[in-house]
Amino acid sequence: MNRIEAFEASVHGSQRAQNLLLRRYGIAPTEKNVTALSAYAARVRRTRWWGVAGVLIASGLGWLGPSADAAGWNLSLLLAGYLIGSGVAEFASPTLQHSGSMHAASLSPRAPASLLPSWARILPWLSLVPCLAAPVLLVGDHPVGVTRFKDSSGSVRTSAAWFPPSVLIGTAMFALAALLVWRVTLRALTARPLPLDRVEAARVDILTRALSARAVSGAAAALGLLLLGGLGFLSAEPLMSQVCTVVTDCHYVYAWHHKYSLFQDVGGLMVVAAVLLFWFSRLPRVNRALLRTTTLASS
Amino acid sequence: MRVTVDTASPIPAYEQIRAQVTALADNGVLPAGTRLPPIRQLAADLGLAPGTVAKAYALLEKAGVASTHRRRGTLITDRGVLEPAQQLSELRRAAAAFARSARLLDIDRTTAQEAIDAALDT
Repeated sequence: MNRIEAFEASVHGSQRAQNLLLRRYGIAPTEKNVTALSAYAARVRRTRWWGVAGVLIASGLGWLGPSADAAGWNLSLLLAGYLIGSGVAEFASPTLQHSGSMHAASLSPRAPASLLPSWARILPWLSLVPCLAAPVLLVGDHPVGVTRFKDSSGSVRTSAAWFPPSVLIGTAMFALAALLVWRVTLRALTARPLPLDRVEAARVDILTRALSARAVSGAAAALGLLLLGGLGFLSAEPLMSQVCTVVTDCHYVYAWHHKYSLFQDVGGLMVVAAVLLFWFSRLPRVNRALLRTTTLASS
Repeated sequence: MRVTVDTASPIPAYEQIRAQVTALADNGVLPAGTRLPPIRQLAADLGLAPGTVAKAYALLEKAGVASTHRRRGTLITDRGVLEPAQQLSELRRAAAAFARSARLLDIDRTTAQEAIDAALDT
């Protein structure tokens, strides 16, 4: 099964790809299992689209503050919508029902650690950085505007800028939302009952949980990186701020003015990393040991 | 590993859970230190009331099979340490080995007892 097929299986309704995905994890591609996986893919795809559309509409109506020309902001909007949609999809997921009077359950505690690889448990915390940095950048007085001086020695025009407050507020809000949606969704994924009465159905359920956990973690981490990268991009203008007291005495406001291109480059790399992270987190990879726990019988 | 509960059985569900977990711990399938699922998780998975699972856990705790810690949750205990009968049995085995060594070395009773007292004091 190649990556394109795996991707299709996780987000599209290709039955062939879904059969392959089930086989890859040792699940029989019976009609019931394929139907369950198809229903999951359809539900998740629908809610993610609704999430993206909702955020874009809210942005169009001006409810989300910043202007559309802010660096990476439109991409952040798409990711935030995707993330919210992914979270909503998990709350709308049907719970597996018990069959008959024999009820079975795993004796292993469920935790995000069992659904996710290490990077996916750590990287989303990156969102804390823009979440905390944005309010800090809002504090303090920063010279803003254009200054023109003219005297007998000549004339000079300087400009000073700072991060737009609406962008900083939006960044902090989105970063906080990313963390909240991520944590709440992971909690929903681990707290949802998982009866093992029907082993195959339980395995499909574990597979879909793992796909969702991975996608949500990847999107949250990507959003954090994107917001951070956006701040990096935007930092060029403030860093190059200059003020003059007289025509012959102009100076940069901030000490790191000569590093503005570094900030921009790092910001650009973060945006690229965010896109890659988002893409790879959508490829289905599931902890096979977790799937095996469904078949180990009690003594 | 799994636990199964027959809701149609005359045996109470908490007793079925207790018996299965005890058997798994006795057989070493659940070694000491293994964390059991939180009460709510197991109750939701088995379709039981949380109180039923809590009762099973309380019985396991009472029997020394499991112990509950505030942060780590409910863990399978090292029963060799907790069960008095097993403790005594282990001690007697160790004492017999000590006595054998003392006889082989031709150590008299007083010296052997002094050695035990010294070891206990350290």
